[in-house]
Amino acid sequence: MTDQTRVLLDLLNPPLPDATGDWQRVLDDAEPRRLHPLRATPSSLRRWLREHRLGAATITLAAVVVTLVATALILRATTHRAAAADANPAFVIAGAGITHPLVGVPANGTAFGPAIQRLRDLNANLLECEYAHGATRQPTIDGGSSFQVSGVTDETRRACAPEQAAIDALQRTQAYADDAAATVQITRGALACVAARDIPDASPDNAVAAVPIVPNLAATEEACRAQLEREQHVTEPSPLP
Amino acid sequence: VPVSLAEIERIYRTRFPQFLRVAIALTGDRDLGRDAVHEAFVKAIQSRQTLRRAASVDAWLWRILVNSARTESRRTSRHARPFAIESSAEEQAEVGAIREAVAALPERQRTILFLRYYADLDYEAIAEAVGVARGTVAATLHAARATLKERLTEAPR
Repeated sequence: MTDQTRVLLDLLNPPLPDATGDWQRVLDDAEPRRLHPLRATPSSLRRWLREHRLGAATITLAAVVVTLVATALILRATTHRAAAADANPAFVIAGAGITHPLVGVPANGTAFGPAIQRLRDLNANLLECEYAHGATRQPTIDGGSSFQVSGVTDETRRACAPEQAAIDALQRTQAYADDAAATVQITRGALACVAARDIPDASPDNAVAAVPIVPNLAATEEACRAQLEREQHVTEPSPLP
Repeated sequence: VPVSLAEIERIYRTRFPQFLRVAIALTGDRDLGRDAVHEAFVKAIQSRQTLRRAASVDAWLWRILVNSARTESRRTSRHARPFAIESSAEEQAEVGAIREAVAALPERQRTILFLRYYADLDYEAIAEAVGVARGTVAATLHAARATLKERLTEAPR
């Protein structure tokens, strides 16, 4: 029966001598160090997209929408409180950092701390309140990656005073100042390092070119610096004793 | 010593058709089978530090594959028919009785049967992959073959 069993099972499910896998995709899913967001898409999401007959374009669109929304929230908060920035150094630092959309992307908790997360939530609350009280938004001239809120009247400000007060209170805390400083340091350090490498357009001010370094800014920075150090060690002559 | 990435890659590249064949059999669907193999190797890479080196890498990978295939089957149990390999009407008529007989086997018997005949694993490797004693593998295979013989002999021609 042994050989018969093999024959029967071969009939049922013939051998697949030419079947080939996709080792690269396995690697990408197992070790998403290749940091392009589409390549790093988890296989579970790809499977879901395939089951629903959706393709890479959908992932791109979703990523763009998420980035736009995050940028809108962040820039709105920054613009709206520009006057307060001069009087609040912590806010100036955070403002420089959080205008970068990547800060809105989870980065294993390394790119921004809990106070920055909290600020984003509070900003969202404020925006919702302002929209509920007559404010409108329009894309800005920087290519549509952010929005400008208009139509904020005195009545809107009065109605949303609690949300604004919560933001102001958070920004006066030491935890916020620490998180903001760390965020800027990590973001700028990573982008500046990558900019010096093989992504010519990446810079602290060019979010679009920096997208490939998602999702872990701190790790990117560390890897980039280590590589630079190695190269420096190789190319520079050792000092004479 | 953890399993090296190169070792896992070598097994993937050299034995992919066998992994896929077993996965298709276990899930009953070609796409699910591919997903199961994919997920299995992703998990293997991610957890390669945890393997006790005394264990066989091959058997370790097969065990992960069997678990992945079970997960895939459970995940889509509302949609997938048990052991419903896609095939033409002619093929279906030819192998219909076999399919029914195999599908009626208990899950462990089917799994061990596939590992034996689709992956050509020996009893020791099957035992490691499924997590049972070697003697259990032999007994299970014997029971599966006997059941198949009985059912296919009785099946109307």
